[in-house]
Amino acid sequence: MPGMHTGLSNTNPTLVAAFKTALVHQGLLIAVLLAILALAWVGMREWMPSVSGASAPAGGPGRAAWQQEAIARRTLRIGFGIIWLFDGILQAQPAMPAGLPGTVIEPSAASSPSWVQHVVNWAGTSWSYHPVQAGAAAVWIQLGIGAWLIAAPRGWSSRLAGLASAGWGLVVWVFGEAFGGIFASGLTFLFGAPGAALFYCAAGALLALPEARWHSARLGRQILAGLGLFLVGMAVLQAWPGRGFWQGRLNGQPGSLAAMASSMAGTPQPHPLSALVSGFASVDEAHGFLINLIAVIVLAGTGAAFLTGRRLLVRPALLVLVVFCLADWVLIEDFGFFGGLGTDPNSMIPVALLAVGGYLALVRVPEPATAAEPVPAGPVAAGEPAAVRRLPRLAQVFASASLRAVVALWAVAMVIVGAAPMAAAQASPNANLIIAQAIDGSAAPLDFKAPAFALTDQHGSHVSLASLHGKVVLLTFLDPVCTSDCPLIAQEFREADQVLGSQARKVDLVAIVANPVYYSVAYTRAFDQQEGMAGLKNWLFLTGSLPQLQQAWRQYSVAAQVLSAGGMIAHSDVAYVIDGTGHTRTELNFDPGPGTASSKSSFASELATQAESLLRRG
Amino acid sequence: MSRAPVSTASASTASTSTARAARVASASAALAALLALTVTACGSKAAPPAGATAGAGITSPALATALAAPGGEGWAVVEMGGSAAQDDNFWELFSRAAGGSWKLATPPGVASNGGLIAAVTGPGSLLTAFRPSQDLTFSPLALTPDGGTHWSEGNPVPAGLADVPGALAEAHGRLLALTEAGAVNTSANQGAAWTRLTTLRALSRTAAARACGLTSLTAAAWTPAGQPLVAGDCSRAGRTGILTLSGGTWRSAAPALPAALRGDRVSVIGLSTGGQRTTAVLAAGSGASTVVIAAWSADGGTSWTQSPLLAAGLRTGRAIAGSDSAITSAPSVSFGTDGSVSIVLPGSNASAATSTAASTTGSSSAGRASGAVIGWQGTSWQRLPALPAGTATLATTPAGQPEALAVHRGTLTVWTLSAAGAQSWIVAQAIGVQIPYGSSG
Repeated sequence: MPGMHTGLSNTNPTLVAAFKTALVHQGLLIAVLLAILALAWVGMREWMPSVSGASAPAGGPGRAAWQQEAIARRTLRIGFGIIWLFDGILQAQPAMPAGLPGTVIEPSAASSPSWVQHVVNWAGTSWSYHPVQAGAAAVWIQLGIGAWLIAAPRGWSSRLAGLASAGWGLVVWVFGEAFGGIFASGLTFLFGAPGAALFYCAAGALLALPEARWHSARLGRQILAGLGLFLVGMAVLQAWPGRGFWQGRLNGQPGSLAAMASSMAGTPQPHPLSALVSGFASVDEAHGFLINLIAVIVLAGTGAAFLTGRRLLVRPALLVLVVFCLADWVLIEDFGFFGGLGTDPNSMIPVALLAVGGYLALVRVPEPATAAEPVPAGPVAAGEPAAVRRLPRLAQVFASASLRAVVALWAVAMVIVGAAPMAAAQASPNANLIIAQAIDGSAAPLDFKAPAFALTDQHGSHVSLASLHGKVVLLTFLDPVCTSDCPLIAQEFREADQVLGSQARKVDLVAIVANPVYYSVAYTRAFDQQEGMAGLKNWLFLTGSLPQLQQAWRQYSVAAQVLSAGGMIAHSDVAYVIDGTGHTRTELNFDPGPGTASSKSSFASELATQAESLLRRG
Repeated sequence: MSRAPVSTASASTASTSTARAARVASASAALAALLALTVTACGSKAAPPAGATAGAGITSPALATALAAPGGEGWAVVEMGGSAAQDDNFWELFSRAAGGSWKLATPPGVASNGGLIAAVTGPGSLLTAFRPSQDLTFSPLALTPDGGTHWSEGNPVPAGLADVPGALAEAHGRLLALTEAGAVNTSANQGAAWTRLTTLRALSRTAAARACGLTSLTAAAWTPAGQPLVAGDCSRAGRTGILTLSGGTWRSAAPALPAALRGDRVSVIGLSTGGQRTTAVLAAGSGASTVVIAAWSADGGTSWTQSPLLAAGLRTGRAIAGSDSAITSAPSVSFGTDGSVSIVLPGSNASAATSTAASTTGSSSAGRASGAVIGWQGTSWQRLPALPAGTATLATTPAGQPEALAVHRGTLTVWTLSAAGAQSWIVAQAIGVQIPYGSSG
């Protein structure tokens, strides 16, 4: 999909180092915020003992019952909180910034319709434009949501955590999982359809419900009915003929399930696990019909049982489903995160959790609240110092908050700290400079008089370096009949011109021909037409006689070597930034790298940044 | 934690709830089935019909070809190296002085991954165009006056040339070019300035083109009188698409086909003019029933003489460029200065991976390419012995003997018949080329 990749290796050292640095910096900030919150909370509670005392519940069994969170809700809250924490840790893999678009997002959308790919491509492109910020944001958002869910057991904070989980789950489901692959062929529950993140959304939505809903078995029946409907549908899909699941081998090739298991077994993982999954693949090849029959029966049976809502049926069905999910998680999904760039443990654990939550909501319903309302934080006692009495209400509430509430607040701060840099980066349409630096290293600062040249531009006019004094010159060397690098470099120069905006009138974009065979004005013009440079007012593609060109190449340390047998001219990819007084200030290694949208944008940003820096100096 | 007691108020409605749940379950199951059907339909993609290509049944010529020059020199264009998908294929030009041996003569300065198209401009001189590849979208030109020893840049063709060997023609300094986009451009001054003569779209609206149902352009040439001549594929059976511009109007200059071909669609797979002679090679029919016919005109297309039919049994589609095993699925057509025709008919050269200095073979091997030659206004095709593995094209020696030019990665092997009329090939020359793998990346 165009634009999706940075084109960099997943383990590009510059990108990995930048990612680790970003995580450390944000982590330090989050730790500092925790320390500040903790100190403020402890300090204010010490200062206002009367206010802090209001947070402790009054005694009595009735009050305990009111405050008791439904066990079903707690199971979902803590269960999915732990899963989000685990996902956040997985997002911190060093290869994630460069690898996520190409290794995770693109494959998930590869067999989906083009409109899905278009939607997914937008997200993948956004990620690849700011890979470090995006990678770090994903880590802290997921860690923050996980901590928030665990820390906030009830009240509006807990419900907001559920909403956040549902919201972020939706983002992941759409952009990271390509709608869970529901629009692609080969959909099956066994492989993770309709996407693990959708179950995170469902759990989040449930957690966002008013607590009173959890005090009735009706919610449990509804959860189980929804799951039951889903499982029956998946059973029908699994049973559908012609999809390769009934056959262990088909036309001499492994059937769909065996093939999937085999490919999972081939991913990098501990050998015992690989052997286990590979063994299952062999079993499925030999007994594909039986395995699929078991899957269909389990899905249909548990689904139907859940739909009845009868405890006598639901309980054994739950047991069967949990065992089935665990078996699938190990033998087919291969724990979901081994090999490649795993981002989550796939769908079986979330499904099992939801089923358990639904069952608990059906059978373990807390008694309705009968106790009195909890004592709210009362007004400051008359005996407190006047300064305390004048404190804002917010400070009083903060001081009276429980430790869990403070932790929940800190978790929210974690999400914001993670998301803010990416949100700020998104405000710029240009890719981050880190991509260009990861490809070619940093710019080398220089300070010497730029060698003079006097050549002919694409319009036939004479142009010398002296004639360009007063403007910043971005200079490079291009082969007009090049098939790869030079068109990309030209595009980067053109994009730099756009980035410069109104400043572009103070900058000249200059290229000198780097081909000792094809260097006539006819070819510079043909190149300009090809690259859409003809309309750029400040673009000059210079040529001259062969001796003139050879002199320029020597003076700027550019090699232009003729290769035999149909090879392109081999020449240096370099760019120079020359100030208005004719001094060379920067040299950039300008190999354009993979030529992806993000790398081109990054190089353009780098050129524009260098030019703007010189313009500011005046 | 102890189990929370269930409210007793719900017990009395348990049976009602169960019945309702059962109804819900049935309806839900039906809905689930419908949902699964819908999702399956959404998710499934209809597989494209195998082998479906535009214009199935129409044959396109291979870009590999050999050209003869008036002074007895020879030129050959072949694809060497590795995979085109990795830009590791390189089209090479070879030249042979009259009485001499072949040598590498590829013009320098441009990557040749997209193909080379050559036009003889005189004794020892050749005009060569580079077809676009990767981000290069126009066609640079190169000129040599001395058999490829020295090259100079020509003016570029502003658009990429079409992927056919006859996309460039030259006569007396005037150029005719077929572009990828279906335009016919002309230049009166060696490419210094180009004008658009016509386009496929405009041509197809002319009466002559409508009569044949012209669908594509496959070759360009100049008539002996200096008029543009273009050829292509016809969708209407029994018609040949050769048109010339005369008096500002495009008219048909095509031969009438023999009765046996009246029901077949016809492709022009080669067109050449040398002196007063114009030669065309046509492919009619499709698949195993394809036949080839040569046609000659000495008056610029007004009247034609035709050869007997040559059973070709071609597969549809183009040559798989850059394939190590040189599997060709398109015929290679070469012309002599006297209007003779040499043709390589595709087959699988499965043993090309072995040494090309393998034993000469006189016996035909299943799947091997075959070749045939015919002289100016010849009355019969001369079938050649089974061609050596990897044969890309056929050239002709100054003495009129066929040479099979075979390729295996970076080696060109020139095979000749052990004697005139012999049934076995012998290696006459082998040239190793330093392929600049990876240089186009």
